Amino acid sequence: MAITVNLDVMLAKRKMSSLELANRIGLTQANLSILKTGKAKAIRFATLEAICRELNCQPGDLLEFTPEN
Amino acid sequence: MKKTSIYIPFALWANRLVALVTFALIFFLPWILAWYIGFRPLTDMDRTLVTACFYCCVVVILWALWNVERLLQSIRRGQVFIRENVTRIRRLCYCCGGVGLICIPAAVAYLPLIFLVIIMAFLCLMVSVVASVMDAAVLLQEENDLTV
Repeated sequence: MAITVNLDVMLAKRKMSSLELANRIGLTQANLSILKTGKAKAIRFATLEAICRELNCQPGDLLEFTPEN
Repeated sequence: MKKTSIYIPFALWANRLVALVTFALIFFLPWILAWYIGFRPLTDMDRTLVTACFYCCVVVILWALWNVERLLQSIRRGQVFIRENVTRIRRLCYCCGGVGLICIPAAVAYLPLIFLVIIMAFLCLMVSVVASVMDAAVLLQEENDLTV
């Protein structure tokens, strides 16, 4: 997919585990894993808002567009 | 979901009853056929051809009923929009088409059976449409499952 989710990078920067983030934003670890591994087809704004709030970052820090050539 | 839980056991039992009748047909088919065909006499060769075609249909029907059983069990477990169910419905479509094709020689021998061929072809078309709709639903479900 052309959109890459840099959640691992942000978690490392904030020194937070994916389990802790999942608990804070009310998501299951399985769903968070779907996001981390790039298998997600879509993300709700509410989820994106919650992640940005907990990781104190912007959506652009999490999402990266790479054109498919 | 409550409506589904009322109809699924009924559908399961209806499916098993039809399977029982189909098994019984294996033993009683010659007599049933003799009674049905008695309305218009056939040569021995035509009677054999019709009997052989119907026995082939019994095999196809039993496979279709097995797929229906697996489909209904899957729905009862709450797994409705999954790839396997689309495959099972497509197999039902092939069974309808298969029965129609098998009955063509029988219809040549005994013309009134042509209605069976036409009905099976129509059923094949309808079930194919259902399979396509189910396929689209599975895509939506997969997207929904992968929406975080």
